[in-house]
Formats: sequence, C-alpha cells, structure tokens
Amino acid sequence: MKPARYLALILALLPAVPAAAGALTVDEIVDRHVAARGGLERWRAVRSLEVTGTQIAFSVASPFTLQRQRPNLYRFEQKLFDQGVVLVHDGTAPWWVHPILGVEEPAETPDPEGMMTRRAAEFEGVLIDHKAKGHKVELLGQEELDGQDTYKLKVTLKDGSEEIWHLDTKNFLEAARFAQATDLGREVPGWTYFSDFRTVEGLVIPHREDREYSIRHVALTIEKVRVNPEIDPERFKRPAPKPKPVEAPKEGETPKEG
Amino acid sequence: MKRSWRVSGLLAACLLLGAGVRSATGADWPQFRGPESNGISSEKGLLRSWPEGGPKVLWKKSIGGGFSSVTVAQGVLYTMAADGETEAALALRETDGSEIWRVPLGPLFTEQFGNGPRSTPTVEGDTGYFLTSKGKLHALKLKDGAKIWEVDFTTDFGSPVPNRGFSPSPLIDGDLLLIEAGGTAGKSYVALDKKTGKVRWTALDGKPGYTTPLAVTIDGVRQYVFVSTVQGEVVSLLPDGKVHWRHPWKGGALASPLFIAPNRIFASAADDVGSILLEVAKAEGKPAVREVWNSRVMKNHFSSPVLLGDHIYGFDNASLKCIAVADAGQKWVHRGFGKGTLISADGLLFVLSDQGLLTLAEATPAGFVEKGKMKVLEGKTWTAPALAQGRLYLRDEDELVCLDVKNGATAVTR
Repeated sequence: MKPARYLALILALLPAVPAAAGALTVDEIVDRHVAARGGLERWRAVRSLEVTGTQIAFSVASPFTLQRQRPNLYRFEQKLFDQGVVLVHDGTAPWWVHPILGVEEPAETPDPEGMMTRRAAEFEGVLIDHKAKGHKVELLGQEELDGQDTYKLKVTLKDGSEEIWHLDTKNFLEAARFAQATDLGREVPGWTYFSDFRTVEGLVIPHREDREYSIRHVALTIEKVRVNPEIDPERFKRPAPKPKPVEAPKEGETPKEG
Repeated sequence: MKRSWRVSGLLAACLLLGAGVRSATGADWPQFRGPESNGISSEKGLLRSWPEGGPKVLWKKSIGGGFSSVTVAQGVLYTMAADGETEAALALRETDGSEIWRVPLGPLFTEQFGNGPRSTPTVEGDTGYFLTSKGKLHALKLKDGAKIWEVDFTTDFGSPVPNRGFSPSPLIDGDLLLIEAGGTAGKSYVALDKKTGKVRWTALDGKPGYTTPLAVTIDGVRQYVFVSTVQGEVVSLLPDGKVHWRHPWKGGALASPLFIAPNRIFASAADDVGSILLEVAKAEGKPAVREVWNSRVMKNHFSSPVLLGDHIYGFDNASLKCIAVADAGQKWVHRGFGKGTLISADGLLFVLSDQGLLTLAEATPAGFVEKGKMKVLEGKTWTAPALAQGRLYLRDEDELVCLDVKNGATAVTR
C-alpha cells in the first residue's frame, strides 16, 4: 500500500479514534451509562419497583422498604432509634412521619427534606431519560476519584439545582454523586458512593449505597428487588389526620357547642 | 555446685514459664490511645495474617453499656461501663475477664446515641483515674478500687454537662493530671495534683469539649496541646498553666490530635471542616505557629488517626484513608467500615467497623492490603480497640472481647 493510501485510510478512521480513545461526547457517555444500566426501553417498561434491604444509620442496622410507582410515587420506610420513619411522595407533594424530628402524625414534608423527597421520587434516577425529564447534563472532563477513572458530569436538574456525577470510564456505571443532602433540617453537601451492581430482570442496579454528609454515614444494602410488583396505591396517599379525641366534660362543666 | 546452679536455673525457668513470662516485645496500654497517646502499640511478633475465622477468641463477656475503651497494666484491664442507674469503674483479669472489683462512680448518663461512660481511664503506678460522663473525676487505688480523691467538674469548675457527656480521658504528666473541664471563668483547662486532686492551675474560658490533650516537647519546651471542640482553636499550655501559643481554627473536633515530631501538630474535625497541620517554630524567642496545610481530604469524626512514617491513616468520616503528611495528598481510600475506629502495631492496622467487623491490614501507603477479617461483635461499635501483651480488646455497647493476635504461642499468661 502506498503512503498516500495509508494516509487516506488513517483519515477515514479518524472519526472513530476519539471514541476509541475515550473522547466521547456527553450524549455518548450518558447513552452508554443508560445501556450499562439495562437500556432505556427496559427501564421504560418498568412500572413499579419494590426494594428491601438493610439500612445502617447512626451505626445501627435496621430493615428498610422502598416502593416506587410511575410516574413519581415513592415510599421509603425505615426504623430509626426503634421508631418508624416514613418518607413519601404521593405524586404531587411529599409527606412524612418522622418521630425523631417530632413529626408523629402524617404531615407535608417541609423543605429542605421535602425537596430531597421530590428528587428521590424520580423513578430511575436523573441520568436515565434525562432530556425527557428536563435535566441538562454537561461533561466536565475525566477525573480520578479515589483511584477510579471517571467521567465527571454536571447535571442541572429541572428545578435548577446541580449535582455532580462520576461515571466509571470502563463500564459507565455510576461511581459517585455529589449533591445536596439534609442533616436534621440542615442542607449540607454530601457524597453517595455506588457499588455491588447486580442485574435483576435485565436492570442493572447498585445493591450498595454509602452516603456521607456532614458527620453522617448511611449505608443501604439491597437484599431483594421486585420488578413490577402490584403496590396498593393507598400506600402513597397521605392518611387523613386522626380526629382529635374529644375531651370528656369535667364534672360540673357544661359541654361547649361546636 | 555446678549441678545446683543447673537445677536452680531450670527451676527458675520453670517458675518463669509457669508464671507466664511477659513477652520481651509485649507492652501495656495504660491510657486512651496507648502508651504514647497515638493509637500505636510497640508490640512486635503479631500475626501477619489471620486464618479463616480470624484469631482465637480468648474470652468474651457482657460488661454493660458505654464507649469507654480499655486500659491494661500489669495483667489487669480497667474500663468503665453502665451498671443499672450508675456508671462504674471495672477491674478485670486479662486472663479470663473475671472481675476483680467494681466501683460505682456516679449517675448514669443517657442519650439517644447510647448511654454510659465515654472517657477511658488512665492508670499510672498504683492509681487509676476515671471520669464519668457527668463530670465526676475519681482517683482510685488499682488494688481494690478504694477512693483516693474525687473532683466534680460541674460544682468545682462550673462546667455544664456537654450534650454527649464528658468524654476526654485524663492525661498524666509528671505530677499533673490535665484535662479539658470546660469550666467557666478561666476554668476551661485544668491541671490537678495527681496525688491529691487539688487544683494546680486553671486556664482560659470555654465550654467542655470532647478531645483528649497531648503532652509534647517542642524545641525543648514541655507543653500540653488541647484541641477545643467548642471554642474552635488549638491551644498549647505550659506546665505552669500559662498559654504558650494559640491557633484559631474551626470548632467541632472530637478526635485526638497527633504529634508529628519534632514540631508539628495534626488536628482534624468532621462536618466538612477537614484537617490542619501546624508547625511550631521559634521567632524572636517566642513560639511561632503556622499552618503547613489546611485540607478537607481527611475529616476525622470521633475516630482518631494514627501516624506511621510519613503517612496518616484515619477515617474521613466513614471512609478509611491514607494521606501524606507532606501535603495531605490522598494515597488510598477504603470503604465499608462505617464509622469505624483503628489502632496500629507492628506495621499493621487493626480496623474495627461500626458493626463489629474487625479487619487486619498492612499499614502501607501503597494501598489497602487486607490480611484477614473477623466478625467479632454484633452491636454498634464505636470504641477503639486496645492492644496489650498480644491481646486485642474490643467492645461494643454490651460486650468486651479478648482476641489472641500474637504470632505462634498463645498470648502471655501470668
């Protein structure tokens, strides 16, 4: 082959070189991430999810149950200090029961926790189908994170808030997310580290999440994933407040009207 | 004559063996963070890797709640634990954990993160010093637990009981007992006569924090370094109580500082604060303190780090990291221990997860090299291990466990 033909061949191959060398566009990176997670069509076919496992919070292990239903129904139940905590998004607004924070009866979740529940309610995370959801993704470059080569992405959510995502350059799965978290009513920056990816009915799901923010560490270990289970819609609805007990009139006292 | 010498020698050897010869490389653990207050034991000859199932469990017993670590001297363990509605000092035999004595010290401290004592006793000579979570400092005879003296931080220094209870461990240096009492009106840091409990001096204003001070010598000057949790500063006091130097910093420190010879101090705090490396030099005859670096790579919460060579091994909140002293550069990170704790000996790291999983690793900046692991405890485990005479002591909020980590022979018996 003459040198000119060599050159022509090299030039013809050039468009493929950047991808092979890792210089992918942001769309290509996100597409590969979605493919690595099982693919867009497979995720779109999922109508509901139920995840059970163990949560370690305040260094105490206890079971948790997470239920999701499209479009954005969400219920996370856990035990903290032996008290039941429920975080729910009913499709319109977040509500909770959180005895640790003094919320004994179901009540609308105020911000910043309400904002966190709204974000958590997003069915399959921000990167899958992100354009349809109104999120914007930018590639900030490649960065080593704790010894792992990653693509660093900035995600501007529909609500204007920003998250940084690190995707492994080899398998395109998420390594970590840096985003706002809440610590007992205080908004703080926090990291989430993803690991132990397993395939369930074609969906690739991290079975371990380690969240670190302020002085906290929360570890979620998934033990079982049910895809498309039937979930009672009532699970997401905020119960009506319990009627206040009517005080019995004291002796010699006339009951008041109304 | 020769024969009698041989017999005597043999007899002596038998007696020594029968008594359980203290290993030539064994060491006691007489205070919080070990003999040098740095989380490192000088012991050698430990198991370099563990068999499947981990090292042998010598004994395990329920001792009661609390986060007080263990100190070990002359074959006896000392710690504190919840006992009904009180906090008690305990003396236990290292051989089997059996109780020698138990002395109630004061009312039980309770809170949502766990009840009972936080401070670790300090032992020296024939005396042990025990601080309850509500601020009662006791000097007890090690022989039988009899009281020598008692000081109450709340009444003697006007100290409020901090949210998480009094947690510092007493520091003994010469005739002094030093501790952050957090008292009002110039009584934040106190030095007591260790024999009588009488106040030698008090210094500075403040509220009680949670860190244990260091005694160090820099440029020939003996000094006591306190890292204030509440005031947010690093303070050096001289043996006469005068302020040697102060360096403003952020509040929130719970972990003990490290002394990096000859003249550097490492301090760290969580909640997005980070770490500082201070260098203490002389300028015109006065101490001059500068920050060598200020980094957010390592943020110790309640778990204190260890210094080995040119590297610091410690928890960045819940991530175990190795960083370089020179520039705080991260060498490696390893997760999965939660809010763990660690100590070191013989070039090894003993890392205890907050779920009671004990891991042995090589202490090397090249990477986290696991050499064995063992699930030892079941409950929340926030207390750092202690190591003495080939025995590793671990506790959670109920149980105390003793493991034989010595290489070859069984750990020393007496």
